[in-house]
Amino acid sequence: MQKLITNILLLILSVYLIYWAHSHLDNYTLSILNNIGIFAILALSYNLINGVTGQFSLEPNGFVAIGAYTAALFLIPSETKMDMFALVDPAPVVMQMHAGFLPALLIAGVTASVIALLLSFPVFRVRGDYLAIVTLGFGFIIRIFAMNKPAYTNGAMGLNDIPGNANFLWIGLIAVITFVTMLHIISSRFGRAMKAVRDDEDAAIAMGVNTFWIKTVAFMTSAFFEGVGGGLLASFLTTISPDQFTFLLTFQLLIIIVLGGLGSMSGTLLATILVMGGMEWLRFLDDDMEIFGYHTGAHPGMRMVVFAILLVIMMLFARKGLFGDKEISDTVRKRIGRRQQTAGGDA
Amino acid sequence: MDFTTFLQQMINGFSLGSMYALIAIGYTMVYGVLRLINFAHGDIMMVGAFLVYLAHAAGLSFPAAVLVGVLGAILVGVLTDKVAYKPLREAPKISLLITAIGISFFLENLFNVLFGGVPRAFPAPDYLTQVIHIGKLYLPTTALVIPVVTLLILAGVLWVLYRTKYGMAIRALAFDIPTVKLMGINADGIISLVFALGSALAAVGGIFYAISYPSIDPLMGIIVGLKAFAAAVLGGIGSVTGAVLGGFILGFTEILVVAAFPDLGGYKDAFAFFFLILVLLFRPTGIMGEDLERGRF
Amino acid sequence: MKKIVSIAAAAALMSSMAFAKEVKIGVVLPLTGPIAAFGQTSKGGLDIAYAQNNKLKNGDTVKLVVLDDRGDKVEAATAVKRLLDKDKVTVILGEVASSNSMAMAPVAEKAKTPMITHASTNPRVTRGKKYVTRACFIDPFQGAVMAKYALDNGMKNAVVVTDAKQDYSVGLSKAFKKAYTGAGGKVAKTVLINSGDKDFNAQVATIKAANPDIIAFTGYYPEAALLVKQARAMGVKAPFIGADGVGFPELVKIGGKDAEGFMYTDHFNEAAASSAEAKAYVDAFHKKYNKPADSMGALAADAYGMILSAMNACIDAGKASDDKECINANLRGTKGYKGITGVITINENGDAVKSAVVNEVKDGKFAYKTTVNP
Repeated sequence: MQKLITNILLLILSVYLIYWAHSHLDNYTLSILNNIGIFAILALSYNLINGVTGQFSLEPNGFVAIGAYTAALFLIPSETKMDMFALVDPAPVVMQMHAGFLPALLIAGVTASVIALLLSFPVFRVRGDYLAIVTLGFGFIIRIFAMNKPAYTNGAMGLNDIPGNANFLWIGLIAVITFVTMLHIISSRFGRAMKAVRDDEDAAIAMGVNTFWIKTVAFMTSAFFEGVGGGLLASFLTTISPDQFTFLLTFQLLIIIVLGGLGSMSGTLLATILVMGGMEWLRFLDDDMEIFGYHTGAHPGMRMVVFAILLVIMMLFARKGLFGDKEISDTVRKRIGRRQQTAGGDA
Repeated sequence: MDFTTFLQQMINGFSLGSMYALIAIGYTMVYGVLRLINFAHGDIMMVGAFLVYLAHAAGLSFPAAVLVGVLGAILVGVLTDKVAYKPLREAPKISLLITAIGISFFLENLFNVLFGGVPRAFPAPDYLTQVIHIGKLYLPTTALVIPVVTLLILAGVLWVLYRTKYGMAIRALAFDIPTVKLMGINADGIISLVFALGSALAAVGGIFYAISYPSIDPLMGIIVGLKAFAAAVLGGIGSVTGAVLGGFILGFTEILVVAAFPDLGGYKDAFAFFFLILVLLFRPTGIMGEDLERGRF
Repeated sequence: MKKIVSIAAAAALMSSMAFAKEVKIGVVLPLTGPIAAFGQTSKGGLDIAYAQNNKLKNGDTVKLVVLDDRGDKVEAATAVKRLLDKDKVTVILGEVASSNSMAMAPVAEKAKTPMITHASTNPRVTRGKKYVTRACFIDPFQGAVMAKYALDNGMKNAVVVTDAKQDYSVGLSKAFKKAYTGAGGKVAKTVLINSGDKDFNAQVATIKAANPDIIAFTGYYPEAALLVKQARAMGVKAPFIGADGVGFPELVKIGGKDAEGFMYTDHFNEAAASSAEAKAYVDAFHKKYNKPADSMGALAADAYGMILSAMNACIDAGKASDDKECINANLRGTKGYKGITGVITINENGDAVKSAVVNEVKDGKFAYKTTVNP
C-alpha cells in the first residue's frame, strides 16, 4: 500500500514537472528534453529485448523507421501528399491513410509489432549471434525499401510537412508511460520468464517455459514502443528520410543501455540523459583545443571515437553498467517486498 | 542479355565474388574458433587499403606499400584480439559482440578523424588496371589476377589447416578450447595466428577492392564486411571452402541480377540479407556447414 | 564621489556600446559527417566574405555564430532552436543539403525569423514558406540547362543515370527528362545506382547496349568518378554531363584521365567572374587558400552579402538593423543583386533566378565553357 502511494505521488510529480517544463522552458532547452524523451522511449524498449530477455538484437533503427513512416503517412493530409510525392504518384492506400495524432502513434506501434512477429520466425530459429546479424540486415533492408518504394515513402526525398503535434507534453508523458510499463513487465511473471531465458535458456526450456513465445512477445513489445517512438520522432521533427535510420541510431541506443546496465530500466533512463546530454556537452572534443600552449587543431568526429572507446572500456572493466540489472528502488523494494510476503500481500 | 554481355558479367562477378570470399574466410575462421562475429573484420579490410594508400603517399613503391598494408592489418587484427577480445573469453557472448561493435566503430571514426571522410584516389599501378580486349570482351588485368590469387590463397589456407600442426591445433580449438589447453598447446598463440591469417586475407581483399574501385574512405568496410559475413553464413559458417563458395555465389548474384533486371539496381545491397534470411529459414547450417554449435573447417 | 564617477563612466561606455549595435547571423553547416566537404567549402567562402565586409551602414557590427550539425537533420533542427533561443540571432544562414534545410525551415518559419539557404536546390525547401529564401537556382532549372546544352550540341539520345539514394539526383533526373524530351530529345534508358556503390559494371553494360549520344549523370562526384572510369574501360565513348554535385577535385583525382571531357552545370566558375565584386572575392580567395575559388564558398558568400544588403536597406528605410520583418521583406524582394555567382533576383517563391555556367574537365582542371541564362 505504501509503495502504491509512493508510486502514485511520483507519477503525479513527474506529470507536473513535464507540464511545468512544457510551459516555462525555451525552445532550445525543450528540444533537448524532447530528444532525451524520445531516446528514452527507444532505449527503454530496446533494453527489454536486449537486456532483460538477453537476445542480442540490432534492429531498433528498422522498427523506428517503420513507426516514423507509418505515423507520418497517417498524419499528413491528402493535399500535402499529392503535392509532396514528386517521383511517382502516391499509392492509393497511402491516400486513404488518415488518423488523429494518438491513433496514428498507436497504428505505428502496432505495425512495427506485427512486423516483429513475422521477423521472429526466422530470427528465433537460431540462437545468439545470428540474431545480431539478421536484425542488423533487417534494419538495412527496411532502409533500402524506404528508398526504393517511392509510391509509399517518397523515396530518398523522404516525407516532410508532417504535422508537428508532438510537443513535450506528449513526449514526456509517453516516456513516463513506457517507463512504468517496462517496470511492470519486468516484475511480472512474463518478466521473470524473460530473465530466465536470458540467464539459462536450456534451464528455462527444461522448466517448461516456451522460450520461443517469450522471446517473440518481448520482441513485439519492444517493437511496439520503438514504433511509437518513431512516430513521435517524425512528428517532432516534421521531416523524415531514409538516411536518418542508419546503424548509428542503433549504436547510440546500444551505448545507452550498456551504460545504464543491461536489464535496468532506471539505469537506462539515467544513461539516456547522460549520453544525450553528453553528446551536446562533448562538442568541445571536436573543436580546436589548447593543451599547454599546443593547438590540437579541430578534429571533427572525435566525439564518436571517445564514445566507441568508452563502450569497449565499459565492456572490459564495468560490464554491469551503472545499475547492473537492478533498479534504483530495488533496495527499498526488497524491504517492502519482504514485509508484503509475510503479510501475503500482492504487489 | 546476349551471350557477350553474359560472359562479360560473369567475368565481373568472378572478381567481385573473389573479394567477398577473401574477406569471408577471415569471418569464418574467427567464428569457427571463438564463436564470435568479428564486426571489426570489415574495418580491418579498410585499414589494409588505407595503409597501402598512406605508405604509397609516403614514397614507397606499390609492392612495398602492399606489404606495409598487409602487415599493418595483421598488427591491428592481432592487437584487437589481445586488447579487446582476450579479456572477455569467459564472459557472456553478448559482451564480446558489443565489444566487437565498439572496435568497429572505433576504427571507422578514428580513420575519419585522422584522414577525413572525403573519398581518396587509390594509387592502383597501371599494370593492374590495363584492359585487354578480346573480341567484344573487355578484360581488366585485375579480372584475371584477383580470382587466381584468391584460389591460390584458398589452397594455401587449406594446406595450413590440414597439412600442418598449426592447422591441426586450429581445428582442435574449434572443437574444445579447454581440452586443447590441457594438452599443453598455447591456445592464445593459435588464436592470434587465426586473427593474423584472417586479417591478412581481409587486407588482401581490401587492396583488391581498392584496385578495382580506386576510391577509399573510412566507411568502405562496413557494407562489404556485412556482405562477406552473409556470404560466410551462406556457405556454412566455420567452413573455409564454404566461405569461398558463398562469396562467389553472392558476387555472381549481385552482378547478374542487376544486369538482367536493371530496375532491381536499388535493391543490390539487400540481396546478401535476403540470402541470409532464406538460409536461416530453410538450412541454418548453410551449404557446407555441418552444425551451428560445432563449427569446423 | 569616486563611485558615482565610475558609474557614470560605465554608463557612458554602455551607451556608446549600445550605439554601435551587434547584429548576429546564425550559420548552420555540416562541418563534419558524410557531407562535411560541402560544409567546409561553404565556410571557406563565408569567412572571406565576412573578412571583406562585417559592418553595416550605421556602424553596427555583424557577428557570425557558426554551428555544426554533422549533416544530421535532428541536429540541424536543434541548432536552429539554439541559435534562436540562446544566441538570439536575427537571420539564419544554411544548410547545404536540402533535406537538412527542410528540417530547419519550419523552425525559422515558426519564429518568424528570415532564413536563407545558399546551396539547397530542392524546390520544396521554400515551398509555402514566407521566411525562407535561397541564393541558388533550383533543380528543375539545372536539369533544364543540362538538357538544353546537350540538345544545342546535337546530342539527341540520352541515358540518364540516377542515384536512387539521393533526393537531389532523383529530382534532377526528373527535371532533365522533362526538359529533354519536351525539346525533342529521347531518353533511351534510365540506369539506377546507389551512392556508396563501387561496382557499376552491370550499369555500364546497360549503357553500352543503349549506345547513347550523351550520358546525363545526376548524382555526386564519388560515383561519377568510378562510373566514368569503368565506362571508359568497357569502351563506352559517349560524353558525360552532370550537375553541381560532381564539380569537386576528387572527380579528377579518382577519375584520372578518364574524367577528361566530363561536363557539368554549376553555380560559378571563377573564369566567368567579371564583376568587380566577384574579382575582389576571387583575389582574396586565392590569397588566403591558394587554390581556385569553388562554387559552394561563392554561394555562401552571396547569401551573406544578400543578408547585409537587406539589413542596409532596412537602415536606409529608418528601421533597426535587426528588424526581422523588414530584413525578410528585403531579402524576399531582392532584385538585381550583383553577387559573386551572378546577378540574383528572388522570385515570388523565394527562389533565386540567376544564370548557370557549364564547365568541363580539361587537362585535369575545371574549364569554363559557357553561361546559360534563365
